Amino acid sequence: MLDKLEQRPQSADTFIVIAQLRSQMADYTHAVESCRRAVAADPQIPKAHHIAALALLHEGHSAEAEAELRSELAVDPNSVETQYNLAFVLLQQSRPQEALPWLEKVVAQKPNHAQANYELGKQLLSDGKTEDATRYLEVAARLSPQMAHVHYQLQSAYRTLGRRDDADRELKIYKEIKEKTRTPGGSATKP
Amino acid sequence: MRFSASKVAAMFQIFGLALAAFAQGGHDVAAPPPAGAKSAVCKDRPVPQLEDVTAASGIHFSHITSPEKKYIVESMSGGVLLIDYDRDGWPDIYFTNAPTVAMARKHEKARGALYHNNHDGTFTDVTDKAGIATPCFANGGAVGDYNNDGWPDLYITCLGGNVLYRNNGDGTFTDVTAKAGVADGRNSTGAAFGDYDNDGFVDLMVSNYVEFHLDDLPSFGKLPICTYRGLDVQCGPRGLKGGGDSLFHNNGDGTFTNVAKPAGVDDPHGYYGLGVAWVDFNNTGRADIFIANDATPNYLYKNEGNGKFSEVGLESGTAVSEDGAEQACMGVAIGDYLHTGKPSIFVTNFENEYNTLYRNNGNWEFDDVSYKSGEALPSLPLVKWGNAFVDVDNDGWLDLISVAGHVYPQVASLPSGASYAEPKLLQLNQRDGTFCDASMQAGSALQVKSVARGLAVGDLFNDGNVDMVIENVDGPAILLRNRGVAGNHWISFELAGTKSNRLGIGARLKIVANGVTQTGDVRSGGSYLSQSDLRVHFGLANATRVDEVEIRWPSGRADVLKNLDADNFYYLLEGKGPVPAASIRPEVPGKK
Repeated sequence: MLDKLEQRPQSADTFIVIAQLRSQMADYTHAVESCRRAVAADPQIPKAHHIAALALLHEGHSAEAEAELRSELAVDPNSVETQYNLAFVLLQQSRPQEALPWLEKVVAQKPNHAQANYELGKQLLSDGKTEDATRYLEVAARLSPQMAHVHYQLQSAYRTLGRRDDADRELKIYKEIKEKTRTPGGSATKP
Repeated sequence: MRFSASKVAAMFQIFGLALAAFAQGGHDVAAPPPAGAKSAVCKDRPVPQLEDVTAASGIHFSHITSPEKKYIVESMSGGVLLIDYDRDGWPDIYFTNAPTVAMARKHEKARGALYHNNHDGTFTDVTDKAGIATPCFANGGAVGDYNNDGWPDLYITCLGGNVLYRNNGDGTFTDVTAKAGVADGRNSTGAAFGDYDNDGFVDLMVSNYVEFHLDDLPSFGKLPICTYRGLDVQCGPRGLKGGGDSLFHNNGDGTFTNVAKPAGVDDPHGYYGLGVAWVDFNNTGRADIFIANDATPNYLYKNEGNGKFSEVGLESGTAVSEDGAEQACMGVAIGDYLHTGKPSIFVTNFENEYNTLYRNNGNWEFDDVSYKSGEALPSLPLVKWGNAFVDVDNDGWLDLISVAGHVYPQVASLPSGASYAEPKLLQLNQRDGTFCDASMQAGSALQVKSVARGLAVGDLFNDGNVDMVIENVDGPAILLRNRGVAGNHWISFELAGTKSNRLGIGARLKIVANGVTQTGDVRSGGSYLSQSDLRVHFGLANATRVDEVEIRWPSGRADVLKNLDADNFYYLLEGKGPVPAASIRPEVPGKK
């Protein structure tokens, strides 16, 4: 059905919807094509470059994804999510020094952006700036208390700082979340 | 490299799209690569050629194939065991086999195979004489000498009851499971012998995977957790109950007692156990246990020395990835790849999950250095299973090998062009804590895609180069002969305990050559449900002599040897040092 739909002239918005559906079907190649058609129909349509970027990332085309994200920022310079995703793509490409300013920009604009706080903390932890990392990770843990990986990173930071009680507390939280989210046994045979 | 499903899923939440399309079936979603992730292709160094010599070797074993893999137990078998069952100094090979579920329900059996090493590059199928063709619905196993008679015995892990074969020393084996009390009876996968109480008799750790009953089958694709990228696939491991683990204490009289619960290693959480290794991680003289758990945290059991273990997986940093992600861990390899004297852990994982390298910092602290070491990225696209730390080029530094193959044959229908069969991965140690990818330079055999499971490594041709045996769950087994690197030397040790267990399992060797210190252990089990050569091999680079060898036996005794010539096999008897091979070999029945 999507194939037939794509054969007909469509609005940019419709191509965006098709691209989203293609992405859901893991058909990333066609998702990118639909995004490109959306842009051809309306060069200023928001989200088209962003969706294309995510599809390209699925296909492992990090550099092309970066270009799409930069195009998206040309259309919508204030998109915090695009800024964040660009930072993430830069991290993927082992360009942390370029990514860090984008993460800091995201956090400055949106201090409650949990993922940006997390990525920033994680990067700083990797750089050995444990005190600074801890600050961001604590924010991330406060904003996303159910995200187990945040607590795991935080316990690691605390352990590095010698704060064993804090580390154990965070590890306990991590374990509790993991236990809760783990699929209960037996359900595949006794639905 | 593909982007992680979790990250993209998180990104797509921006647009309010459903995440179901990115579900990983019975596996957790993966964490993204971190900043600074790098990998390198090997250059300006010799790479040994790994030649597929299966056809010439006379090995013609193929695991029974279930084309659709409707049930998880049809995907998990395929351990391969090196066992010098006749003690002639040449490793022989046992391949496990398992029937399809349909066959098993009709009580039809699958034939495993024992191949005798003919010392000339060929092998002969001696399964029928040995009497070990159809032990069970076999997954893998381990080798150890449970009765200290000098003849290595064979333990086979199975769905529905494991089998211990006592080696009679005359080319035949006897099933002694019932007397020994080591059947377990669940869905056992990994196994390894190790003497945790240093009483001179090897004990036996066994991991169990999911509970699985042939009369109560999970329905193919029935639930959301039985789908993968929108495809109906087999159910599990998530959604199935975990099996619990066993630790069989060797009573020294041919019987064992399951002490898993009092010892604290019974897996009360019901995690999905696969690879098992006994390792003295902190140089205490006591064997600790590492268990690779699929889709759940790994276990690291610290041997407290009083018959009890403390589980320190999460605290030590070895239970999950550096992001705290529970990975789908399959195989486990142990090695001192940094020459620190502290054994590190190398674990294989599902696709989009990197192979994890846990560097041992000492004092029960490990770091996940997978990305930092450069080994992670090349592994991401593959579903990895059997693995090993192995010095393939004899340069004195342990390299990494892992074999791969997807779980779901259905992936071939994905628009992304995913492949069910996958290539193998060889990564060479760059002697600075990092690894380079040599998979494309070691000959074409590594690039031939197969659906690999078990991997065992050993010097099958006694030429000083460590070879590989791969069991595929679909398709014929593969024997890769390592053609080596000219000019590099080696040394190999075969141990015999007197006060310690007879095969010296758990002994740690430290050698010094040309100022370089290496350590290695005699190890049972490991990899993915497999058994590698029990001999301890060291590459020596250009050193033609080993200045010093220290052997720390499980009994606590330490033997020190000086000035051993390279390029030789040595036979070490506890307390005596090097002896003629015949001195450590057992007496052949009827030939006094």
